[in-house]
Amino acid sequence: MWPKVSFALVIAVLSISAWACGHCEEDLVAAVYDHALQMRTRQLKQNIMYMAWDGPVTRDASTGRKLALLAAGVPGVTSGSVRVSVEPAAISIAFDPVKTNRAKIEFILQEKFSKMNVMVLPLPERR
Amino acid sequence: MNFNRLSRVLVYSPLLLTVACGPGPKVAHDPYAPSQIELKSPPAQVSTVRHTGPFAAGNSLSYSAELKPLDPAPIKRVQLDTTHKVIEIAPGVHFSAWTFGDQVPGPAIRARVGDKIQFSMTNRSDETMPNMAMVVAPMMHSMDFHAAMVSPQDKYRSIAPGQTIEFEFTLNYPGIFMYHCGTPMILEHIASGMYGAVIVEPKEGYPTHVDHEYLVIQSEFYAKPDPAGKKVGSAPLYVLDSDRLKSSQPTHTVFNGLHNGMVKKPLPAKPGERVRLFVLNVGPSKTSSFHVVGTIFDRVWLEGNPDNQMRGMQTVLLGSSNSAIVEMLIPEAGSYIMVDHHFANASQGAIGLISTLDQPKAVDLEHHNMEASSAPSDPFVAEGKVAFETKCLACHSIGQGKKLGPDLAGVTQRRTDPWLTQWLAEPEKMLLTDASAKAMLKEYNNIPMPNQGLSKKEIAQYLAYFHWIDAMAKDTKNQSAVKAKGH
Repeated sequence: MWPKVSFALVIAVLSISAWACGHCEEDLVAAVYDHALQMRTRQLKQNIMYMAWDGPVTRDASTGRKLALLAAGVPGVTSGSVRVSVEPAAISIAFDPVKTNRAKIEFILQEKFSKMNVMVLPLPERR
Repeated sequence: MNFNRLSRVLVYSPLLLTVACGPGPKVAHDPYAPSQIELKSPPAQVSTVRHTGPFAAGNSLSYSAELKPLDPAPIKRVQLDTTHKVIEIAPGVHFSAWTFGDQVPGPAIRARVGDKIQFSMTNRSDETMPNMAMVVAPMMHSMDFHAAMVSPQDKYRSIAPGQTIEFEFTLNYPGIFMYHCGTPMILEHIASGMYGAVIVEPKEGYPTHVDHEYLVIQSEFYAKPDPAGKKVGSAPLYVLDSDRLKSSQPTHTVFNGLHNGMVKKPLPAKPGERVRLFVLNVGPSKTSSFHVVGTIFDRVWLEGNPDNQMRGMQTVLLGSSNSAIVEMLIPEAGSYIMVDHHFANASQGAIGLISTLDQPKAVDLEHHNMEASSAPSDPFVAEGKVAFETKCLACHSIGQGKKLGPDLAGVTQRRTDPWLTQWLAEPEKMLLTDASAKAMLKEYNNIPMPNQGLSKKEIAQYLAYFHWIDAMAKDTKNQSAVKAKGH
């Protein structure tokens, strides 16, 4: 129950369009944007999934590393493609759409991140 | 009440009311009332249609301190593309910058209240520039106009390399407004050079007449030699020093993007002329105490709005993204020194001249205008500076004259490196054998230089610091600077 309530809160907060600068959707993407990775995935016909994350955790490099490690273990995620930003809290991963999809990745990430009390919120697909 | 009294009341009461109330309260005209300003703006458009050719375009743009007159067109098309570029912020300091319009600061936009800005920006950070391929990866950028009243989530969104964003807005308030990249980390984007000014004149123009108008933008750089040792030609490449940035310790504080920039190229004026400066302090983290040595600001319009007028000011305090128009008379022939009167900033390069002379006299600036008190970017030199200030300042100055020991400004020109090395390592032995050391002892009241027990590395750092100081002084001299009297 409690995690669902928290997640609902996260969604509610993220849906407020009047967030301060640095927290709107494009800024979250910008925080983890890697142009070289973008070009590489395009060539390989892979996708990049951008997500916001939130939770009662210390916002430091150590947390970022732990999240990156957990995300890297999600099946179908391209090796070496995980990018995590602590502030603003965002994460991106590349994946092969033949092997997996956004819904599966989100489901597994929620499960893995819940151990750290962290939730993810996928940002709309970018073209 | 008898009849007479009643009739008097009836006769006089309307008159009394009229006297008490007057012809009715006047409603002052408020030019900023919601009914007077334009808030409508269509949604921003993002596309993958790239701009090609020049990185900036528009009749309202000025590219230097000298401002173009107002373009009368009520709709201003402005194109400012983002680029990544190496710029020289100080002699020999080639800095990896991010820009609007391929320059730092970005071009200034000049318009007036009621004008519409039709803005367009392509993120061209992915285009290969000379010297840039190896420096920094393309990244997302955005544009935040302080002059606009629009939804940040719509207009100020970040766009990826290759994308173009277009939006428009109407200018409602007069002023000097900053524009900057608002993409995280904003601090890094501003400190890398992504800023500029929008000058918005009042609808009816300024209430005074001036002979010259100039734009002065103060900002900070936080530079360090590239840890990977990359070079631009034979010179070291400098990159953003994130540690200094986060602790607000700039290496350079500059006007119009260049250390001592307007010392090299003074802003011209003649005696008796009136000068209007549009001053913007970009920061990103320091305030500016903007002052012009030798004159008084006749009028100051805070934020560049004549509604906010002050008279007879000596200094204007500007926080990050604050601005002011200052107007002054040039009283007589001479060079008038624009400084941040927070002299730690001035000594890092926030200095410029308004000069009546075609070629200002080639004499030294006083040392407060040199790099003597600023922090060198090279860590090796910086350590020398710290050591010098810890151990030597009690007896020596740099550019402030003799103390117990000599003034060390120019010491690398008076002595050879081997001599200085030996002197710092074994002063007591030198005093027994070296003629010039003996003469110096006599000159300084027989107070000997103590042996500080310096290591070879420390001595090398001292020498590097002395060379750095003298190189900066030499550069300043070459810049045909004019002596700053009394400060």
